[in-house]
Amino acid sequence: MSFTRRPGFALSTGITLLGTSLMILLPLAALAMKAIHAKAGTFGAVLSNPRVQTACLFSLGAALAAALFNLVWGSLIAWVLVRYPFPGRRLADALVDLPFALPTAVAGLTLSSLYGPKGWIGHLIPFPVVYNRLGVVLALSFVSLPFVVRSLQPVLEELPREMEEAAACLGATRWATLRKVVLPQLLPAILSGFALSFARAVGEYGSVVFVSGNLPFKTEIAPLLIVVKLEQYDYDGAVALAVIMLAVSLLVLTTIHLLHRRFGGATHHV
Amino acid sequence: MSIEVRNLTKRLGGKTILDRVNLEIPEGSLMALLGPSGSGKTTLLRVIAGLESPDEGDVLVRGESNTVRRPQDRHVGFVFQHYALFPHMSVRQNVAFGLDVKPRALRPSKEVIRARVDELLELIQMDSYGSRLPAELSGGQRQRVALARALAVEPKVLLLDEPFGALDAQVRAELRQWLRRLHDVSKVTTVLVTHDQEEAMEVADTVAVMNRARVEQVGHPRDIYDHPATAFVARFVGQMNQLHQVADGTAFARPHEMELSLDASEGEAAQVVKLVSMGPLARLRLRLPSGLELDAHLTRERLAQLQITEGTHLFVRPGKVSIFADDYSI
Repeated sequence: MSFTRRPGFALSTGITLLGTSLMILLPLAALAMKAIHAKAGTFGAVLSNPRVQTACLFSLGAALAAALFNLVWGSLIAWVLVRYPFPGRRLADALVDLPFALPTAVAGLTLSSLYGPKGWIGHLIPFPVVYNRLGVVLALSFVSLPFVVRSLQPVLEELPREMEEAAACLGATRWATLRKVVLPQLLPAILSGFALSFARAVGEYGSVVFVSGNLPFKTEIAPLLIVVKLEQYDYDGAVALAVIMLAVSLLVLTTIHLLHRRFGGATHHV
Repeated sequence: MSIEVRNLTKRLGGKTILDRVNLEIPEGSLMALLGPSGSGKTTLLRVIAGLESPDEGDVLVRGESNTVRRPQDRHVGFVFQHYALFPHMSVRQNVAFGLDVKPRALRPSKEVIRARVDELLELIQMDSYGSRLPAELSGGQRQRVALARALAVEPKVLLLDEPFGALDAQVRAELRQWLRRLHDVSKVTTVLVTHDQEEAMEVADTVAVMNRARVEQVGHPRDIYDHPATAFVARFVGQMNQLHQVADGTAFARPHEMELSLDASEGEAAQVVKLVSMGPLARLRLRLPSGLELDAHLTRERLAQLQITEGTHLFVRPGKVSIFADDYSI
């Protein structure tokens, strides 16, 4: 059967493409157009600027660090929420989504006052947590935490317990069962949670400006630099920076996607 | 290895799932735990495997208490109804799993493991499927792989939980004959949980019939059919007609023991409401004027002799009656 003959194909595809075009492709195309019309040499100037280089590398590094942190922490939260019935589990489950609902500026302010030198938690910690690079990673982890939990949770719920029982009967220790039976089956979900987490963290701006201190060459992130350029009416510079960040993010996401394909081959349960 | 289940009780949320169960499974035998769903047979199997812990009682394997050990240390092979194969591993990796995870000191060399897997794949007639993933196999093949995986570690006891329950009738019949042959060769003490009486009768040396958390009768399949100990066993194993109340209970008779005649002096009047004739046997459903319905089985010859069709009026009489004390629990 030709795929064009499937019922509803034309209508549903049309609506989907229109929506995608209006909401995603058009803004990106506008960005690309703007970049093409930028003054000659803008890209070179932006790329070779050490402040820009530092900010871009820091943005990517901090987003990766936050995504990695969430990989571990988020997996743990998902595991506890699915596997252990405890009083208040439903409430805890609902709390996971809170970072999504909270305006990011509020998140940033809250974190900076909690973890600041005189904050409730901050004064207990012997080293400074906010207004440095650690603070940026903390804020990025906070806003992107739900992704790993929410990607992993349904997969974990569907994972048959019998598989672990079978492994135990075959003499596998709990650790061997986790490593050889459970984790390989969760890997695709963990990876996609990681990718979403990373993507969210790279673009985050609102919370970071409140916890980072925004020191050039230290805690300045690329999205902040874009805003700085806009405030200086350097539209070409802002666009160039945006395109560079977009390209790098795309590269990272594609890599994760390829990894996902590599490990996602055998996820159906038998 | 003989298994001895002693006074085993298991409760879950106020419900008694196993009620002082005693059972002895002789070394090298194949026992079927037969019962309707909810009778506790799967829980009993899981307690023997160590996947559940009992509230009271004990399981002894070769005279040693087994309930204190972890499942990993019990040397039990367990086969699940839905296979529980590891989907990301090939058939070979699945079968080798139990050997691969042994502690380094006890783990056989790679060559030994490979040879053992080859041997098992041959045993389950799947030599050429070693590199397939479980998703690429049929249900029957998956269950054979699950069985090979369980046998790879040379378990003292093999426990099968409705192993053929998810398969279609033809594959099920093939696999149970195959299982019987396998058992005759391997002689591993085996417990098979099933709700299918035919499966239990065909495969097992001994059948334990379970009902409502208790074992009602243990015996040779033929004895269970011919001499059921309780009304429940009589009705659950093979078909049974419930006849009339007598002084000390209720009278029952098997469908093949119903005698039919066209002569009014022999038994009660009845009408044939349904006739299914397949193979050497004809199955009749009879309705008595009282509204009571009975099943009768008779040979094709007898059917032709009496010239019975649907709607025929005839007379029926039980040739042999069994009487069981009333058990209101059914």
